[in-house]
Amino acid sequence: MPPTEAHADPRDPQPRGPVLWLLAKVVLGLLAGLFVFDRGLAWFDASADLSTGKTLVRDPELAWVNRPGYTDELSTISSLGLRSPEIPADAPADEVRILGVGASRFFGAGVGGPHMDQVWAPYLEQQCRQACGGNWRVLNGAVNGYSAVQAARRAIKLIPEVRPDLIVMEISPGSQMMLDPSSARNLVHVGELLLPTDIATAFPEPLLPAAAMLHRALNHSAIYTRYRAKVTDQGRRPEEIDRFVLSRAPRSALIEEMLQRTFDELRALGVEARAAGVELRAILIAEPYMDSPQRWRNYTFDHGDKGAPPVGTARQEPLEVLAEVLEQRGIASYSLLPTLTQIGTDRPRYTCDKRHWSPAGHELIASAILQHMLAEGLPERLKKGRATNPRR
Amino acid sequence: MAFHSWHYALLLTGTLLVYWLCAHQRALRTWLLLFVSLFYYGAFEPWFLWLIVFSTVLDYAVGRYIGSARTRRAKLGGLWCSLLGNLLLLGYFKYSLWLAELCEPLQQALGTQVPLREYAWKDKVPVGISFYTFQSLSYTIDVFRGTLPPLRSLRDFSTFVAFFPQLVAGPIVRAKDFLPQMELGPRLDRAALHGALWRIAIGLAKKTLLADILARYLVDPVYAHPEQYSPLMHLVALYAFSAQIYCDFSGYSDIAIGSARLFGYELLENFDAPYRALSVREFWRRWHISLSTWVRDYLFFPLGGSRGSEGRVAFNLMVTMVIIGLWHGASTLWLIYGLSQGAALVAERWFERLRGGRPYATTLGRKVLCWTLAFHFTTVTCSLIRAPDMEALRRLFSDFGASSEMAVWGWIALAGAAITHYMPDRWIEACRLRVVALPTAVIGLLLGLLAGTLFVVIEGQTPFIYFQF
Repeated sequence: MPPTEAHADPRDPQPRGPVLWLLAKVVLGLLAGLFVFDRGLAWFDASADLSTGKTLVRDPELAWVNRPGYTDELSTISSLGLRSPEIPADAPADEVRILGVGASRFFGAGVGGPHMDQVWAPYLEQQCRQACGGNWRVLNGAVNGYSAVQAARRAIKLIPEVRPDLIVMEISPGSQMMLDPSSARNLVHVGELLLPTDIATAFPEPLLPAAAMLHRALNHSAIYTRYRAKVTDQGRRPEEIDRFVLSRAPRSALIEEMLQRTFDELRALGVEARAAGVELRAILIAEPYMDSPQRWRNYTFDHGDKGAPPVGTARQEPLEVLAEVLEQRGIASYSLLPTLTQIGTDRPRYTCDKRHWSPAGHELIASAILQHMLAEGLPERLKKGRATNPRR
Repeated sequence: MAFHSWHYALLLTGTLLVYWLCAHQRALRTWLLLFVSLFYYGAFEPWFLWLIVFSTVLDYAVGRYIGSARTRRAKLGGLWCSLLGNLLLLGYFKYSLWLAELCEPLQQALGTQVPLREYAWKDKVPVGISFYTFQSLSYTIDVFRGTLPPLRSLRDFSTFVAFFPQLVAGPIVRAKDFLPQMELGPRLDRAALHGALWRIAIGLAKKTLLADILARYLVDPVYAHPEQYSPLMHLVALYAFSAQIYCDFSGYSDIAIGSARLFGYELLENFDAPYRALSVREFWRRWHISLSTWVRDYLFFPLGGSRGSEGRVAFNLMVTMVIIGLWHGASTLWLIYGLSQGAALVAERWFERLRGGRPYATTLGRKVLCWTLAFHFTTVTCSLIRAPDMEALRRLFSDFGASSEMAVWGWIALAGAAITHYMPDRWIEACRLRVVALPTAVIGLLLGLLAGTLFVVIEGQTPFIYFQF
């Protein structure tokens, strides 16, 4: 007769089948619960984003990008996330394409910011047509809040989609050069994939490809993307980063390390551009506090001990150092300091807020870029190059 | 590896599946628990393992020695060995820096030049060292008293000391409660599984939905900038911290008890709605029960307990409560905390004596009065735990501003903590019975929904307060 439960020896093992089956049901239920919650959260996030009219969407590699298809009274974002009209399917095969990348100033942000037709890109397109003739298309690929690293990576991603002849990249010598805790600025290559540094360091080397694939798969999960956003965007940047401006003054190890990461990314963009036969020019934009000698002096006086260059540093030094650094990495640059100085002399006219340009300011910037291009005969070279190699 | 992290969820799930696969082999399942426990502890800092290994091997060897010793004198020698070894370990890593700082004025007065500070331990205190040294000590004391036979298996003893669900923050388990369970074939039926998962879910909710939100929205802002907040908000912050520390620690204990049940082990209950207490003495019967009973059995009773003259009993109470205070942390504030609790217990005892032993709280009005006094005493003395130093404490009680603005989430969490604490037990039990009666897969689904919510709510990883002890 089999022993009953009441008479069973307490030392007897319990049959494992029923226990494992119970545990399996819990695990399956838990996964189902997580899935249901995840889909609900994804729906909530999507509707919340749309209802609040946010122009940005999360991107697993770049942290955020312009929302494709977004429309308001000032902008229409193209399917590629550009603040420019769609490239028509029947665009002339010999048209010269210029792709601009950068942050809010190139995007054309600001209080009551300019309409997308009143920023540097359409002005440059118009001026190129007038000055050089032929077919020109200037595309605005800038994204608000981007660092130099994000802009460089975005340019690399857009090269095969836009097939530009020239990339102009807005870059300033201030904190835009710095990495910050967002994921886009802390990615490492694992084969073809990108993996956030904090994840990469948590796994042993042989498991990195698997971790990268898992990370990529999990990016479809709303819970995971929210969790990553918290992990990567939390924390304030140290003051020495926020106030940083490039100069010849000695730098801390932290700043040096972050700068090197940025320079490495810029070098990678240079290599990619050369490989694709695309010209690349860095547009050196001074920070707003550099647009007059007085403002620059005040800035170094106020923040000299918090990351800014020491008092007495020449106003043009940051852009000179930046140009040298870029040149060492094979990237030519146009310094817009004189133009920005002109903007600084009449800020009500050329700016719409403390940092961003008005339509008149954008027109001035476009004009300055064109002058630099003309000075090196770039428009003619671009036209000739595209004419001999039309797009199919 | 905090209990509310996905690392712990993965560790627990994986260990459970393997454990129940090999549950019919006692040696195998015990080795598995030991290996996972050491891995769990080593994940905090690998070198911490040396300390727990030292404490374990010492007490195992001492237990064997006491078991084989023929004279009481030899047994006592063995016990002293264990006491000294464990207390020196604990003393060096937890108290040496504080003691060195305390000695500095004395050294200056005496003109000695011994650099005590240099010899003191200045790095972080090893996680859970107070818990496992006390736990391990209870074994040698019980073996010495003859209430427990010495254990033959080092593996079993190590598993008892390092059992991961309660290793770093209790409950402090007694060998005589835990070791017999190792001999039994582990059992986990549907009701036990559902009960364990309910307990884990309640613990997670207490920690992340109540304790962490109270800290973020009500407690931390006032303690960081007391000068900005009105006196009323200071009072609210005191209440909120009382609720926070209870939800944090009892939440941890709930998860520990639930996790242990999944392996077929029953741990001691650690809390019994402490803020319902009508006296400080009752509070200590309801708060961190495993520590207060440990200190009662291994310190207060051996000192003489409640027997002897009133002066002697008062001395015993003061010593016991000071030890409880200092057990938590090495600082003057903890010392004051222990002294204040001891003084309250002595005062209550004298009050009872004045009344000839007749109970006071016999009417509703008196009960409310007693509750109010006990609750506010424990709440105000709790501020000694939260304030980083005396200056912060002084500012909390004297620097006031005008702001009364706080995020609504803090108020919701405070109300939630109060309602769940004072809710009648039968309501909670009715709720539990309804949930555990659900099908297993549905319970899993609810856990999944809770886990998803926690992922969204958790802002980083706020460590459990009691991990530092």
